[in-house]
Amino acid sequence: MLSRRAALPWVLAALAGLMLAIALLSVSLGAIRIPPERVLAVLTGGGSDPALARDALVVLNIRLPRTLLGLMIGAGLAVSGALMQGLFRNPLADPALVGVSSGAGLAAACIIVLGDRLLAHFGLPGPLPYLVLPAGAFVGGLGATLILYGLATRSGRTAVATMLLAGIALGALSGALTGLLTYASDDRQLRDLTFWSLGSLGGATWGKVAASAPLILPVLLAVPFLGRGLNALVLGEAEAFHLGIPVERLKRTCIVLVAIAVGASVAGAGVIGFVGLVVPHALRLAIGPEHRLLLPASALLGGAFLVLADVVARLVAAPAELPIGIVTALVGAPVFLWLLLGRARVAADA
Amino acid sequence: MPEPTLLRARDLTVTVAGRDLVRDVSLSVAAGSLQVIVGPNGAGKSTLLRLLCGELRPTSGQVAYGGEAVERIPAWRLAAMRAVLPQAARLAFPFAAADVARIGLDGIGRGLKARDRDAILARALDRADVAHLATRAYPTLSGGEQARVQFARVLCQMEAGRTVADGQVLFLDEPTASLDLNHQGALLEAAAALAASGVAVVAILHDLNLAAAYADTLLVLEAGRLVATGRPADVLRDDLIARVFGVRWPVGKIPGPDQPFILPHRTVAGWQQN
Amino acid sequence: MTPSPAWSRRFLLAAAAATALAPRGGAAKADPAPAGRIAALGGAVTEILYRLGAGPRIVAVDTTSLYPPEALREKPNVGYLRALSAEGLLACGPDLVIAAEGAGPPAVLAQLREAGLRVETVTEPPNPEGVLDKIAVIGRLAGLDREAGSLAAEVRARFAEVAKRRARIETPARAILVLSLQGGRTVVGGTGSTADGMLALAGITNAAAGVAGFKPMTDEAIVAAAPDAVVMMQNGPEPPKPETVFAPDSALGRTPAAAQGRLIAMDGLYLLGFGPRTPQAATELMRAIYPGLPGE
Repeated sequence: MLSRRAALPWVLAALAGLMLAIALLSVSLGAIRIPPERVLAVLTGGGSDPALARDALVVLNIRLPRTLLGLMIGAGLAVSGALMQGLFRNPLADPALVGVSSGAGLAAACIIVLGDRLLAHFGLPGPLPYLVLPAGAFVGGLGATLILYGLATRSGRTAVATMLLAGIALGALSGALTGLLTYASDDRQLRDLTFWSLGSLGGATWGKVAASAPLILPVLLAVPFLGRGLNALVLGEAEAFHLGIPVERLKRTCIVLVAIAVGASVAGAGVIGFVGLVVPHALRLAIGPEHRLLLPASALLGGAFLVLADVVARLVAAPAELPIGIVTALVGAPVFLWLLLGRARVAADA
Repeated sequence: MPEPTLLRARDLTVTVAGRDLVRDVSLSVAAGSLQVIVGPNGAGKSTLLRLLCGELRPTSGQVAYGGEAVERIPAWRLAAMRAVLPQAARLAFPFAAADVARIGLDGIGRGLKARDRDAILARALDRADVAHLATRAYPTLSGGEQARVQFARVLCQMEAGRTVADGQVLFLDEPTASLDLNHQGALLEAAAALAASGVAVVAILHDLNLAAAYADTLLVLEAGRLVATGRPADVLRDDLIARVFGVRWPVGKIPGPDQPFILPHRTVAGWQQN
Repeated sequence: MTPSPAWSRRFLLAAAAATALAPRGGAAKADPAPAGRIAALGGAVTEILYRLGAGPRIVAVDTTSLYPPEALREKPNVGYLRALSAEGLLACGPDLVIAAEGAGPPAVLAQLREAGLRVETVTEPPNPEGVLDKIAVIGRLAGLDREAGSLAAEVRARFAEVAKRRARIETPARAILVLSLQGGRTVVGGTGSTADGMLALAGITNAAAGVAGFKPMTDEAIVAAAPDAVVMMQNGPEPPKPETVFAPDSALGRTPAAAQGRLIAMDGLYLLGFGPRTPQAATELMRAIYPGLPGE
């Protein structure tokens, strides 16, 4: 294996290039045919030209915010996956383990199914303002994480194994409650809930980008500083402590960052699976487990992967769109199986 | 000239669920000494080690490094003053052996120049006899090879810490468990060489003969209490061995003409390689 | 991930696959449609536009536009009414979007408006006045007031006949309208739902008046409701079979309807869409429930 320090800039540059290329692809392709030179013209400031007006609108108001949201959410999910895999010292860990997805899902189900009823109960006019759903999902995600953290932390020490088990229990509980709400829902609410849980970048506006950026971007910026600590944590919590790493603070930081990034992602685009699991796992197989490289690389590849999935979601059934959660699962699941088989083969040969 | 005391422990007691894992243990560790803790399983050896390295808080009693209470020392500074070689460590991720060793430098060696770090790493890999395994993936190594890579990591940490701290303590938790005889000898020789250079070494060993060969001071634990301290020759007596370890094997008696015995021999400098 | 009912996920996957595989018409070929290209979102909206003769002007429909059949066959499909694609809709090049209420997500409608597209929503109260208003509004939006006027008159006359028939009912029957039996839930149409409106139109008492909207009904409630007849959707070529619906150990199987085997199956959009064919649907329903009712 190459010296990591030498490989670092090349790998990151390559991934950044890939991400930019896919972002450009995403802005250039869509249900409406816009030739590349006009896309370029719009992007380089030709937005005020009346001849380009409609193209400018599509590129700048529909495709560009969607691409940016996809990059941020993809990066946030992939980085969260890498953090979770480092925290649990298990390459099969997933951001959902920290409870965010279950909490957000339950909150969303409550809002979708009970929202109008609550309004009627208080005599307020409907419908519910549509910001309530993403805000509620975010709060629900954070709340679930807080509960899990509280259950697993005694006198300042967080037992990661307890968190895993409690997360499974909490996930089952919120799944049951969501199921109850599903059962009590009417036809329209059921469809809304189902679509929400399949994930979609549709309806991405600059407003959504502006709402998600202050949550996800700081997480992405903070993450490289955790690389050293996560490397040491791989040796074990005691060993990391012996090496001088503030272990409890590191665990807490990881959990908080994941809760915020995944909470914002779920609030913005519903539940999107597999990105957090497959992207860091695959990267680790390709470039090694050094976290100072893996964390930024996950962000870049995660963003690229999600935006690419969105392009597919938008084109495959044009003029309709597939929910993006379907595409990431359809691609992610086989890739994941293939990776697992690779591991099994290596383990069998070893 | 008496060596400075690097670490002092006073009346350490750890009570968990009504049971005393360690009871009223006091000891002091001087620079350049090689102390070995022995005792049967469940005697509290690992617990005592964890207390001494600051990982575990005692129910009562105190551990102090250079006069400072260990709880008051921030983790990063403590890492310069002491290093711990754990028992077998499996890693979940396929780090290369050299990368695992390099982790020892990441924390405390952050301020060093890259060239210095590389030099320390190379030296450590050589001393642990794992330089030829540098690019191999750690999970594919044998238990013994993994243990030596961990030793290289610890050596890295110590050398990096030397720039910050005055005296250092090296803790070894059953380091010879999965090692071949030659590597057992090599590791303890390396530990003895470190002691000769001023590091204080505290090791848990299972093998009484290894302990007898290498320890300057032997500490015998039984059911959480320190029942004997002193030079191996003074401490290892028939009655103690019978009482603590439950065997009637006499000390210093050759078993019989038909039973050969192979005992470790400490050499003064360097070490035996195969 | 939050678990969803398996059938619902399968439905959506199938719908997604169907929209992917469905032949695309309209937007791809050179379209000689006259000015005033309309995107029709909502089953009743599409039906009314076709009846007004605006079919050739429609450039996009949604997945609920099931009547006439050529709508989904020939026109580009922009997806489910409540999960539309902004760029997809824009790609079809409409000048006007006529959407049934509940179209969404709201962000997409906002993006369409920002693009300068005129987006008009049509409310759908489940009663005769609602149908007539819908025809008038859609006619006005499409610039076809004259045609809308005649269609409205025709529909109004038919509603009047339905009302006359209804007046001859001596004892109203009790029925429930079952939307689906999937996943072990019996989803019925309660008060305020289109089912409720249709049953009222046909002079039938809604035995599921205990629930509001389309909700699942518990087994005890179904037995307590004791409907004389069960009305169900027929969404495929095969009508639901009485043996399945009135299975002996199911709640529906223990109703008076089961004893008499009275299961009426009708097409979903026809029965509940509250479009121009509503009076015919009501008449058919009345004939099925009140076989002895004298005609005109």
